[in-house]
Amino acid sequence: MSKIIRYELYKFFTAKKIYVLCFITVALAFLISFTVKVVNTMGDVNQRINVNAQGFPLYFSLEYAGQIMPILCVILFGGLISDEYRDGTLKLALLRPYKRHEVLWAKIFVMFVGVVILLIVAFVSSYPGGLTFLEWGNSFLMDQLSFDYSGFQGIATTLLAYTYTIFPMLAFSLLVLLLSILIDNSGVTIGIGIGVHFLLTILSDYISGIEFLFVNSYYIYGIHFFMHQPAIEWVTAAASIAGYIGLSVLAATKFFAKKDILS
Amino acid sequence: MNNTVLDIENLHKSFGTREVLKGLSLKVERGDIYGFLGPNGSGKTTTIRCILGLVHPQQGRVLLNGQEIQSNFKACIVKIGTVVETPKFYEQYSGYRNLKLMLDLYQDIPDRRIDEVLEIVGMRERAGDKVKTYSLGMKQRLGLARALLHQPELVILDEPTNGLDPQGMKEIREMIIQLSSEYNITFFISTHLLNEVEVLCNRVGILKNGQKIAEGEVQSLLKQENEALEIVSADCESILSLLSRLKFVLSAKQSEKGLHAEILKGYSYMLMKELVDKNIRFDYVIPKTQSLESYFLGLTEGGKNIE
Repeated sequence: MSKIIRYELYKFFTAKKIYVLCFITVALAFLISFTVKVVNTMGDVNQRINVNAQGFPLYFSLEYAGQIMPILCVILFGGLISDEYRDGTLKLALLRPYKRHEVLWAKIFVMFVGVVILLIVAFVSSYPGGLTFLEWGNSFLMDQLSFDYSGFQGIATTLLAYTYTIFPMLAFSLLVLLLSILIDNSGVTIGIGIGVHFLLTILSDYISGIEFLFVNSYYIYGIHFFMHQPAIEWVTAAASIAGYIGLSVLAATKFFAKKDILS
Repeated sequence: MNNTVLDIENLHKSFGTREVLKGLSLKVERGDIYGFLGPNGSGKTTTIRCILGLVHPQQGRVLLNGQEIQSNFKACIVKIGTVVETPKFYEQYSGYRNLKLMLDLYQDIPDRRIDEVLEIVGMRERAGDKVKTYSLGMKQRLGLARALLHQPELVILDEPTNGLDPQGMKEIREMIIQLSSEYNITFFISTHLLNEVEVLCNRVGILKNGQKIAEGEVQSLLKQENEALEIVSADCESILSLLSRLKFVLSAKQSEKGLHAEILKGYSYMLMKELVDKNIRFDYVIPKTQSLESYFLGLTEGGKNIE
C-alpha cells in the first residue's frame, strides 16, 4: 500500500496545480490584509474591522476556509480521477498488483495531504500577510473580541482553529472525488462541485435548525470553538463530519470498483 | 503443467442496450503468438479490457493458468504485461521516469531492469527525454518496454502497430517474434490487419459482432482442399459450357477478366489439356492462392461460419 501512496504523492507533487493554488493562497493572505488596512483607513468608523496582526490569521481563516478553500479544493481534486480517466493514465495503476480500493484510498490520502498543505500555507502566509499591513498589537485582537494571550498562545490557538478545518474540508473534498468518479469530465466535475458549494452555503443560510447536516457549517468550526460560541455541539459536529467522510468513502469505493475503464 | 495460459469462457458484455460480446470463448496456449482478428467495432478492445479487469463482464470468466483473474487479481496481473490501445504515459516525465514509476509499484524488481527493457526495445538513448517529445513509434516501443518490465508470461497488445509507418510496423513485429522465441513469452495480439496475423501469429481467432467465428492455426486455416483458378479469356461462353461437363470442376462463375473456377486439387493440368484439346482460346490460367484476407472476408462479409 505504501508504494501506491508514494506513486500518487509523486504525481501530486510534480503537477503544477498544488503550487499554483498555494501561490493564490499566499496572494490572498496579503490581499485580504491590505483590504483590512484600506477599510480601516478610509472606511466608515462603523465598518472598521478590529483586527491586528496577531488576530489576522484567524480572521483570514474565516474568509479563506469559509469561502475560498472549498473552491480551491474543487479545482485541486475535481480532476483527480476524471483527468486521469481522460488521459488514459488511470489504468496504469489499475493494471498493477493493487486492488481498486487501494488505488482509490491512495488518492484519498493525497487529498488529505493536499488539504493539510493548503491550510499550512494559509496559516503560515497569514502572519507575514498581517504584519505587512497591520500592527502586531499588545493583545490578540480579532473582530470585537480581545484575548489576553501571549504571542505563543495566540499562535497555538490559531493553529488549533486551522486544524479543526482539516476534516470538514476533507469531507467536502470527498464529495468532489465522488463526483469525479461518476462524471468522467473534470470541467463538469469542477462546475458541479462549485455549484454544490454555493448550494450548501445558501441552504445553510436559509434553513435553520438543521445546520448540523451541512458540511459547510464546520469549515470554520475552529473559530467558533475558539470564540467559545459554537452553534453546534462538538459531538454532533464530529458525528456529522465522520458521517460525511464514511459515506463518501464507502460510495466512492463502491462506484470506483464497478466503474468500467474505457479510455 | 497446464498448457493453456489464457482461457476465456462465455464472455458477455453490454454497454446499455448494445451487446458488444456475445458469449466469447477462446484459449491461448503457452508460447502462442495469438492473433485476435476482427473488423473495427467487433469487440476486440472490450475483450482485452475484460481480461485485464478494466471492464466488468455481465457473464463469463477469464482464467490465467487455470486461476480466475477476477478473484485472484493481484496474483494474476503480475504475470500479464499489456499495452491497451495507444500506449498512454505521463507525458511531462521522461521515458525512464515513466518506467521507474511503474517499476516502483512492484515488489523486488531492481532498477537495472529498466535498462534491460529499454535495451530490448532500442530506446536507451532517448530514455532521458520527455515522453511528449516522442513519436508514436517510440511510444509504442516504450509501451512494450513497460509491458515487459515485470517479466510477464503473457503480453497482451492491442493493435500494436496502429498508426506506425511500414518500417515501424516491421520493427515491432520483429521485436515480438524475437521476444516470443528468446524469452518464451506468450503474446495475445488484437489487430484488424490481416497481413499482420499472417506474418506474426501462429494461431488466430476471428471475431465478428462480439462472437468468435473461427479459431485455429493460421497455416491450417489457409490450407485449401481445392484449387482456385482464374481463366483469362474472351470466350467465356465456350469455356463455361466445357467446365459444366467436367467432373473435377466444382464451381465456375464469370469474373472481370474471364472466369473464376474452383477445381479439385491437382486437376489444373487436366483443365488446361481439355481447353487445348477442344481448341478453345484462352490467354492465361492463373492459380489463386488463399490468403487470410480472402478467408477473413469470406467469413466476415459472406457470413460463412466454419464452426
